[in-house]
Amino acid sequence: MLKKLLARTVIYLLVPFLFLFAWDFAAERLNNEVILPGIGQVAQLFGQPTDSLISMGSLTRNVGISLVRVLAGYTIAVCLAVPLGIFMGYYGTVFRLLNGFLALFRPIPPLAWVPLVLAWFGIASLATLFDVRAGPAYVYLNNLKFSMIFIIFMGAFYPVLTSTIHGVSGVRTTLIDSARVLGAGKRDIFRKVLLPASLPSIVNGMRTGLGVAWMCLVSAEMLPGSLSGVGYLITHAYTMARTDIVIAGMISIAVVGAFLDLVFRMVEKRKFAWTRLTR
Amino acid sequence: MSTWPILQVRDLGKTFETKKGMPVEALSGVTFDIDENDFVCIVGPSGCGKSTLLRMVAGLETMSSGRITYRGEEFLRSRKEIGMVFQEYSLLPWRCVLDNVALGPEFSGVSRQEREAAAMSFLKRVGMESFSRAFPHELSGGMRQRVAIVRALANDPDVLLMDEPFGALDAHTRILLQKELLRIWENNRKTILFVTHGVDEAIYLADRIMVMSARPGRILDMIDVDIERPRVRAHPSYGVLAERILSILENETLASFS
Amino acid sequence: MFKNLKLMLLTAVFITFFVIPGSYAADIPTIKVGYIFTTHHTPFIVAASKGEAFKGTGVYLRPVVAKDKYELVADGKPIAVLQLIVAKSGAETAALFARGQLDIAMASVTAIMAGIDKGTPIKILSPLQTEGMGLVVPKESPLKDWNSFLAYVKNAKKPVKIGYHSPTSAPKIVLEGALKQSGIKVTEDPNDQSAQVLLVDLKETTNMVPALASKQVDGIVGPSPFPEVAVSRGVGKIIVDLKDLPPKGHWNDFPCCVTAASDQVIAKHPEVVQKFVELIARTNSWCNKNRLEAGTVTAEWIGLPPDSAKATMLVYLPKFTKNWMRGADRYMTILNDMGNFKGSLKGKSLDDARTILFDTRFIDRVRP
Repeated sequence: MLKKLLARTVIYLLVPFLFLFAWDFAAERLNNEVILPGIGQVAQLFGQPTDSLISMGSLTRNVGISLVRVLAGYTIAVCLAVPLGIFMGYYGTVFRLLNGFLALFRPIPPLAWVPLVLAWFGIASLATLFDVRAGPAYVYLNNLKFSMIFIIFMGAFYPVLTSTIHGVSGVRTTLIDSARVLGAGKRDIFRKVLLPASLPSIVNGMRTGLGVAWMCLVSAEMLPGSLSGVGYLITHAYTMARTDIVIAGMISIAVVGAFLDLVFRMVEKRKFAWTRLTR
Repeated sequence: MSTWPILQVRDLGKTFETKKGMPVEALSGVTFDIDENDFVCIVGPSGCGKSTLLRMVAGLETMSSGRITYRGEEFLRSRKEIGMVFQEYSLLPWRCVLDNVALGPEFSGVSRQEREAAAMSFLKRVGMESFSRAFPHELSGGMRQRVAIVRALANDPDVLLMDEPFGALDAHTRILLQKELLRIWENNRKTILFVTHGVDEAIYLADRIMVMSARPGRILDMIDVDIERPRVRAHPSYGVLAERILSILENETLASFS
Repeated sequence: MFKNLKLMLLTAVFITFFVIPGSYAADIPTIKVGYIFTTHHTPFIVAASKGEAFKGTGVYLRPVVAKDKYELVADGKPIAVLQLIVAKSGAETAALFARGQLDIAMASVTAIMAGIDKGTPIKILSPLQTEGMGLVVPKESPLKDWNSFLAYVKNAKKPVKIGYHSPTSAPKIVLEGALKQSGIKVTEDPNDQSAQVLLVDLKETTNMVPALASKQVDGIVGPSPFPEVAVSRGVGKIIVDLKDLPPKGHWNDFPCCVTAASDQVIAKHPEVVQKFVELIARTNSWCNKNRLEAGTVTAEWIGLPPDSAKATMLVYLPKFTKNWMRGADRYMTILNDMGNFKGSLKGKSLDDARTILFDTRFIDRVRP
């Protein structure tokens, strides 16, 4: 029993350990902290995450700002994509109307929108929207620039939309037929059969969308305007040749991204255990 | 015995359009009567349209021609007096057994307390009350079909349509469920229209057997099953009848190949 | 359910942070001011950072939101709100001008010229600084000055690779000019093996130090703060301060950054523009007298290690000089030769283009 536990732990930790070992080895050989800083250097940054880095605020603060930004863009994407996806999955006419058009934009990577987005939104932010010009509210709202939110929105929108359409249109017809012969009206079928049946697909799409939105972070935060966020921290650290901060930023992004994904997967596991039946 | 057939089908026809736009005639000139509380099995070669026929009676499929009357009334859409049991994947997988069985009354607006009580009593009748909170994915195929049957019955239909309900089960479970179905039917007489591939199953269950032709499907023969219940497969007439039906089907199948 | 939770959270955030804005005179204009995170823009950064300390000069900046918004105060009254925008390079600054997203900005003179050439309606108002450009080689390199560098180049078997950040960058133009005057064959074509120096476009300032560290290039030529960053990160050493290139005195006061403004803001708010130019001119003088403190302030603002402030080589220019104009004219010649000018500056010398490029009314009115 103990042996089994030990074996499992070793298997999980083996590859990460080898990776760290390789990093340490390479760093020592290169002896150049601009190309590859040592593990100790990077670890030190995590040891004091609330210290201000290169005049940009602390690691924790910047990760927090980035998180709020991503959630803002992501929420808008979900609020738009889910209802639209349900419509398109349910009504064939709506699908045929919109799908061709929307599909044209799907392959465009969010980063490619940057020039247009800059031209349209400039540095306008939520502070502009609410006409807040000073004070602590300003600082928080000004961090949420429309240009960045748009980029993040574009990242999250398509995965959510596609999965929603797929979920709604892929509901097994026997389920709908069963409801009909039991006397269900159209509204009942929509609310009690269609939506619950497509929910796993929708949530799965939301999980993917969040992942993509989180990945768009660095490109979104390179837009002129805000001087905060972990994406900007990374690009600025690069300018200052502080590769250790770059790596620390990357690790932070990875950890937060993995955590968000984990939350989703846990929800999926508990609430959607029944999907095993349909597989 | 009631004077009126509960279900009358006259000259029913159905033509589909393939993706390429070619018309395919699935059913042609189907005509038959079903009497109340009759147990009728429909057998026929593959693709003869028996499922389509059933779905049209259920109101899930539109008619291309002909008409169907229930208790003398023509109807076009599904109604709760005519229930249906499908072969598989019909239970709502995100709901527990109890909530599935209570589904019909739920659509009719019955209160939660009432419909759950009613559902429990139905489950008791088939000895599944201890599974009331289980989810479909936790049950075996046979148990799922039992729940499906109970769910259909809990909605109190007059007519029960069954589209190869035991087709996905293994032979032993199938036999058990056949027995159980008959037992339920004995206690709670309904009109049953049962589509199946299995001639053996049809003879075991039905009062009458409707034999359909190959596509485009029409009724070839309506055979009475005169063996007393409970039926025993060793009965001499069993084999004779089976042989008769099988040879009709064999001819039909060969004809459809040419 | 998940959707609802997120929606509720978002609404809560909005409600919590929707604070009535601070009292504000809505009738003073908001001016968008662009600058770059470089020590070249020290005067502006110092003015913003020290704010009220410059009250005595008659015009100063009062912070509203640190590093983001400042009031331009003249004669005791705020006359404008300055919205700061950080650009990444002169080229980006010119692009922002072209989209009408900047009113005033500081950037390299070559970038502004390129913008004017393309038809962007902007004018150069005043100089910012000169110098602050260096030739950097790896730390372990035996080279120590221009002569040793020339010798190395002449004896090298393959072209010596020197990286720069932008084709119109002042450091590159200066270095190229000096090399050609010393009779060195310079090329930008990587396939030309007969050249002695190969200039490599590293595309962005941010790539310079990493390129040197990874030995992609044998040296880099670039503006402050990158030479200083290379030194403080232990990657390289500065062997030549470009102003010291021969012929002696030729490259003094060689222009780098300038203050520019859009025609629109000049027409609409000339008094704001005047005061801004005055602010920069006065701060320029202060920075020349307090070089170390100025360098430290900038290092802190940008995020440079504090000891880099000591290495600053900048000379701040409160007014245009003859040398400066001559240098600018040299730029125009070189850029024309390179075929960079295709629009209004094509084929022109500085004198020809003076009215298109400059609006010197403001700087002329500033008393020294």
